[in-house]
Amino acid sequence: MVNPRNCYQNYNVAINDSDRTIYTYMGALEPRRENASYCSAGQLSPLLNDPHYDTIGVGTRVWLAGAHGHVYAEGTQHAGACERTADGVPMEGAGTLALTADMKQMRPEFVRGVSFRGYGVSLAVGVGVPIPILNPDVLKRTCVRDRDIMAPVVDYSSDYPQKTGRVIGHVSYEQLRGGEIEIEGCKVTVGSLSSYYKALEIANLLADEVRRGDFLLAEPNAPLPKDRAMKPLEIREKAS
Amino acid sequence: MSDTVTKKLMLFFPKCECEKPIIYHLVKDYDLVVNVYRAKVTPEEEGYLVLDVTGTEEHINNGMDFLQTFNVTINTTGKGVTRDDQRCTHCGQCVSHCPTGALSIGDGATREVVYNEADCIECLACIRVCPFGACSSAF
Repeated sequence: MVNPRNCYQNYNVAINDSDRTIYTYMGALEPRRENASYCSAGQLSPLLNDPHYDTIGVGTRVWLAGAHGHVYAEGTQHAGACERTADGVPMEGAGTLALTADMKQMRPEFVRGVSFRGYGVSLAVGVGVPIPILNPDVLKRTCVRDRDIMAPVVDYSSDYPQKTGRVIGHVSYEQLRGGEIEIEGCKVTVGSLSSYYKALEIANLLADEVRRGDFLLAEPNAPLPKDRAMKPLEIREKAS
Repeated sequence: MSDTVTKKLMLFFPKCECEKPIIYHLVKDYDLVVNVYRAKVTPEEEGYLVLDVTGTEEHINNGMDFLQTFNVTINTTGKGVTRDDQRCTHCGQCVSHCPTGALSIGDGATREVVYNEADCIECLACIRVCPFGACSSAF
């Protein structure tokens, strides 16, 4: 299995400002901000625990759906140069990883076909990345909590497809996990797409394998780019 | 007056029983309060019905005996909407779409999604939004 984009380091919280339901890769978004959807495991997401890519790089061994694989490159749309908090935590979608592992060693439980009504299909995979505690700074960054990670709220009816870059506001993953966020004074119920439950299970499975000596760490042989910005596809000519 | 109880039922009516006013008799003759969640008649003219019946234990039992005089299949576990625990990844997408909180985050630490079937009103929103196809309907 070769996955060109996994482990998005933070991501948008999607809402719908229009007056009809839209069907997106963030799920069904009801009109007039009736619901919101987010998709990061927050404090358990690998790249949010290593925000500056100090330990995770090309060559890092990873747990991919139960198989032992590795990071073969930065993922597509990797953009480490992004808005960050004072602690260096990205406040929007930032780094991504390109991963590979032997599918025959994977556990079906962690490789799941998904279907979004009105949008299409995708694949959900479980990923664990070990972070060696090499110094106090690395340790401090792995102690990141949901309350310290902010996600941008973006309107998927117009701003996202039209790439305006407008962010309505920021909310923390602690607020998101509470099931309700406040956007411009209005309360909005919120659902997740990434499974925190499975992320916790994977963290424990990987930790057990490391302790038993079954999972061996590898030093990266090249770093992930830190200063690359997002370069979206500009459509120059309309198809006739 | 003795205490009333509420029982959730799922009924299956084969074609031959579909045109009989069975629920009317439960109300009129057995003094039961009925609350229908969902009903469907298939193109083959078979009928499905999920409902609550409320009344005294005696009235409910008599009503059940009456139902059994018809060719109606009675499922007292009333599971019109089920969740496949093997398919559910506990992502929580359904939680924001569930109007009654039947699907909710149970344990704050593990973020496990629990399904309390008793609170389900069978709106079927979870079936439409679950990316993993974990929720399904009996009919």
